[in-house]
Amino acid sequence: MKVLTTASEAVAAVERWAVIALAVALVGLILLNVVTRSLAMAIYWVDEMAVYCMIWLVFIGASLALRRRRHVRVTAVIVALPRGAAQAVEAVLDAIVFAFCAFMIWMAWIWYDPVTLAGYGFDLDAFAGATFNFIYDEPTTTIGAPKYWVWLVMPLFALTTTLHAAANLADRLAGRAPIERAPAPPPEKETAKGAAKGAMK
Amino acid sequence: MTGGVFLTLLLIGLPISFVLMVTAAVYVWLTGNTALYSSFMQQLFAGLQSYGLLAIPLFMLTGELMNAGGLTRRLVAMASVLVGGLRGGLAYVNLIANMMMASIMGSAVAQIAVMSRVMTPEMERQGYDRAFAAALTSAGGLLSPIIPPSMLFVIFGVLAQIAIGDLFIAGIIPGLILAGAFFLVIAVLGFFHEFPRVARPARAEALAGGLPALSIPVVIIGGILLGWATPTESAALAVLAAFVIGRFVYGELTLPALPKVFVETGVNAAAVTFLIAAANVFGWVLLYEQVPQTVARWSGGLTDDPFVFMLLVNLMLLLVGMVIDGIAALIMVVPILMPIATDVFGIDPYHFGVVVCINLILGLLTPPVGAGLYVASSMADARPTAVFKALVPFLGSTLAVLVLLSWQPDLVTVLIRD
Repeated sequence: MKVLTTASEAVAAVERWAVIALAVALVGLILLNVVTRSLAMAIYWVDEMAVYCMIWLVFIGASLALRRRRHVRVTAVIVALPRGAAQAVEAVLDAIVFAFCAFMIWMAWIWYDPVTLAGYGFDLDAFAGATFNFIYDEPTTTIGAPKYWVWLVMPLFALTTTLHAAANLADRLAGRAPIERAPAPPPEKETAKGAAKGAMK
Repeated sequence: MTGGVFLTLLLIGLPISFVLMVTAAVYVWLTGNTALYSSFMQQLFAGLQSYGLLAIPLFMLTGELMNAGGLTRRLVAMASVLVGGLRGGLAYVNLIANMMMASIMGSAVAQIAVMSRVMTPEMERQGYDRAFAAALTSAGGLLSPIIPPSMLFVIFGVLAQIAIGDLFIAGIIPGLILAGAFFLVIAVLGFFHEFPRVARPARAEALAGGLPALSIPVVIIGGILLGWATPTESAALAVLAAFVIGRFVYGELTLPALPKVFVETGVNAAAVTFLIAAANVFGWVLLYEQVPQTVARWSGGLTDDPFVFMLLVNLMLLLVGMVIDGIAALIMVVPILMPIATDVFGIDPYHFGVVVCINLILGLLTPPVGAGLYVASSMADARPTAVFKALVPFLGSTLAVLVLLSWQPDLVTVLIRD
């Protein structure tokens, strides 16, 4: 299953650069907004563009965060479990995340519904009229591109998270993933130092 | 059933964003409303379509750039010149430096991590008890949700759909009261413990060295308070200022260091902001199950006094905050409690927001999952229990401030009333 890890790392490397580019673009757009507005020449599409940059940043960054196991979670129970049980629970959790990410691919698929769309010869009006799925009719407010281009980050997110979740699960089953343990330093060492401290005072 | 799934997944440690999404998906399945699956991804996306949220990555970026560019260190040195000569001087320095940091870093845990690295060893070297030093540093982190820029305020503003800039202004008096309470605690403890006094360090250099860095809090707070820029724009200006000062004034920010700064910021900001997207699909559950209405009936049966209601909310949030990270807890409880607070009890949304945000940050410092407590303990190499014990006076005074703020809404709202 090493191939999953390799593929996931390759995708993560691309995501890393995408995060950098989007963060730079975000700062640039807001600064552009400040400058143009103070010169009373505000550019009307900058705000919406910046929001979309942020959203892409969040979904791509959240995908990368999944690979790096950086999402916030409640660890109170898992650190209290014995090592073996914690390992088993972690494997179950990785499996749940993987299953849900795969489910997101399906949800993105039925939303974009490309097969039905192709069935109507990519006639957007006929598609919307027949399915009452208006994904291809929604406009952006100021950018001039249809919203489905911007929404493409969602199927992308479903795909990359599924890959990362699969790699995380494979790493876990192969014993390569870390187990969450209580962060406290060893008590004996601390008592010794604490005593020395007390003597100094 | 849905509630059981939610609690189980939450407690066994599934990432909270996934807890919210999986629960929503299971709920949709159980209620047979499967047409919602085709709009699930759209709903996730829609949760983030808010201009206010732009401030989150930008504020985080400012903080990271300040650390990498040597601005943080100089601000601390500057604070130590200002109050270093007093008895227990370094304890005050710690708090003042924390207040400066709070005006830069939006995240309490990040702030505690940075300040623990800087202040705790220094306090210990001067003869303070190690656990006390770690406790004081982490208590200083409690100021971060109140002094702008605060992640919690940005998120509360987005969730409650109120003006984020006004929320920051509403937090000023409570922030000063809390800082004042902490100063009082230090003074009282110093009276009993004979805190060390130190000679003032070299004044002029440290003061001059810190001045450029001081422009960051000025840009952020000034921009927001004077209404001269939106919180988002202030944040972008602060990023620019932090970059220019770190790169060209101090010359410590190297270009090869930048990609790492951006990636760290991006991943951290994404993990936080993604919770908001997940909360938006979870909103289906709350909406169709009429959870706010149920809670409202239940709390309406308990009391009809806004002050008592606020006390109940505080008690509940303290318990929630002990097991769930502050931002995640905020995202889960605001959609439920906010409509009750404003519609049933007539509580001002800004008042409610400030109290809730201060309360939830306490959870960072309480076992069993107080991230701030563990960060401060491990950086100081002290036992969390010892640090927690030293924290008790600070936590107690924060609780007293919370009760005061719950009782006197004017302390929060007076600055934003036109």
